[in-house]
Amino acid sequence: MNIIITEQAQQQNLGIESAPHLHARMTTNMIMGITFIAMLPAAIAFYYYTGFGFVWQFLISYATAAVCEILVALLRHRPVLSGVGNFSAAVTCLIMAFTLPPLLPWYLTCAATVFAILLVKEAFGGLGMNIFNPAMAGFIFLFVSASGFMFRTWVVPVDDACAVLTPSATMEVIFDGKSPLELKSLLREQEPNDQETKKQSNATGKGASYTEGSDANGDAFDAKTDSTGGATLNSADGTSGATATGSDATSGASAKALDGRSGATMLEKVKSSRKSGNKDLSEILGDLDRTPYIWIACMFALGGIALMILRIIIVKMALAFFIGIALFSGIGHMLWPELIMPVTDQILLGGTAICGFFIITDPVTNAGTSKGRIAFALLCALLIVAIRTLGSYSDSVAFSVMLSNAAAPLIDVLTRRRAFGHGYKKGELE
Amino acid sequence: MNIHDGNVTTVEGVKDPKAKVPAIRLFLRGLWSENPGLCQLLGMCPLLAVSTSAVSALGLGLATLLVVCLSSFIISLLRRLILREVRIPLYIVLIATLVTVVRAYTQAWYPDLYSSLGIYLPLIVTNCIIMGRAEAVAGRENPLRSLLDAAGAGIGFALVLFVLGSIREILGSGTWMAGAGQTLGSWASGFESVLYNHDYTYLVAVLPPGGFFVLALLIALKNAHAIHQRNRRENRFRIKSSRD
Repeated sequence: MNIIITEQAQQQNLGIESAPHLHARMTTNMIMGITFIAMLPAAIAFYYYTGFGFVWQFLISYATAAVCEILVALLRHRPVLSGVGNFSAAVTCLIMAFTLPPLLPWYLTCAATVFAILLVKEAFGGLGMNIFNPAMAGFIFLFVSASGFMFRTWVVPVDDACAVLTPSATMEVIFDGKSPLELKSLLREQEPNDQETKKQSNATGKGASYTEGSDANGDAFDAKTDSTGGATLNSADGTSGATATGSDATSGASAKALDGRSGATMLEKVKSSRKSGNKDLSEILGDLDRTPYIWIACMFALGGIALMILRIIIVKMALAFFIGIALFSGIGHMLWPELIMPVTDQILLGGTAICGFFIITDPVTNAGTSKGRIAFALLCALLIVAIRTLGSYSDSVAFSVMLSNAAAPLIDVLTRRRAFGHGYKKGELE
Repeated sequence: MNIHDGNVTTVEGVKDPKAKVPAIRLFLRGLWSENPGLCQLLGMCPLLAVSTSAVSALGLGLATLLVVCLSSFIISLLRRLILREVRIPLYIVLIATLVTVVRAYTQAWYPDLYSSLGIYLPLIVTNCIIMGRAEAVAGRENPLRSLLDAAGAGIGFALVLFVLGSIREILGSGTWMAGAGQTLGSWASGFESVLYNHDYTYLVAVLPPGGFFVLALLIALKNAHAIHQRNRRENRFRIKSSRD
């Protein structure tokens, strides 16, 4: 027989919960709300540097998440608004909007959100029970499934991009399936280093041909994935495919022009240059305009510090993470300067900043003990540097976070505290 | 519960624990209530590895069905001759012989299917479903009942494989039964269909994680159905209270 006493009924009948009767004003929903607000400065910076597509991604993602939460609430016989009124989904969606390419077609964003909310979060028991970070899982789902799209729709942060990527222009790309290349070429005209671009396009006619044929290349790339069938496909194939279309674009300089044209992320450029056997990273990283990256990272830091002051995220975790990144990449850069990027670029490029302040500090999926949290942050930092260098995918943050999440229970066990009164001597009663 | 005369009185009526399972139930339980793919979780390795496309899933499902039926039938015929102490080696020799025959047959008549199944065709030998059927039923029942039971389990497994392969192929490559004409013979070419463009496919479905996800969702559906049935049965006896 089903005899179920709901928590609410229990509280009504018994009146009191068990001791200790501590009271905290901070609820989960408030924590999530404050986290959401803390990410808004970075969101504004993101809007300025990558255009309105970012806002569309968030809106699509949030609408999908709301539908998913309502569905789950209905299945669980809970009040319908309990899921929607929760800021947790909003935080997940905002992190996803930060990580997904701003010009991604809407159905892919929907699919990633459904995967993140329904499978990664709710199938494990809902908020507080998930073992993997939903936003990162959703990102990886897309990254593995539709890597061709992910590369075509990236937008490199450019000063005042929001003037070009207006709401209506981005809407046409995201919802009507217009090619993102027009917008990207418009963006490129905005770049301050005009001379550089001209030099590049003059030096290699390949760049231009790549831009024209890029859509076709995308299709060819998809066809290629089909022919490989069940074989493990990774974005490295995408990269090599792109490099192959530029026929003899193997030397570092022309690869650079190519990637500048296709709007690949900086990390992708570094990866492809490493693949083509280029020994000098500074050639690529040297002429990079870092202002947008610095501003975005600073805005994340601002939000992160606000959260630290409110004692929502753990200070030593973020500290350990950035110290870990600095340490591992510093040593690595000293030993293998042609393989590992210098410390500043490791922190500025990719998702390192958002990861350190907002992703690994997620209270649900990190380790439970104090020492364990530091170990977790260090492990994540090590994985980020290692996967960036050795892995075949360009972005490593999502993979590192997922791997660390998987290791969190083990870290908990390894860093378990000694219970009071036990284990003073070896071989004693444990 | 009262126990008298060897019968067990339950809320669902009097039951004789020694009564034989009716033959039709023997067949049906393999299809649904004791499905090897969804309930017993046997033969997971080929189930996840081969189900990247509907055609290869169907091919392996049929091969497994053939082997499980033949092995159960033959073991059941020989059950009085097989010594209990050495039954496992004997079963394995028998099953391995059958698998070799099926493998040689597939290689000769369906070379494309043979190459797409790869190592998983000879690995049918180690498939736990076949061993399980031999151990649980074929060693103690008569040949006809063993055959029915094995056919139920084999068809159940083949169906799960086929459904899993279809879902993964549709999600991952946007096609259904692609290459059926080439692999299974010209009669099957009518089933080949392209459902939608590559822009809408999710490659992760044909990669290993996709296999786990889709299988997990299938098992969840099955469990949801079972729980729903159980709740309905139990709620018949519930005392209605004013809160309902």
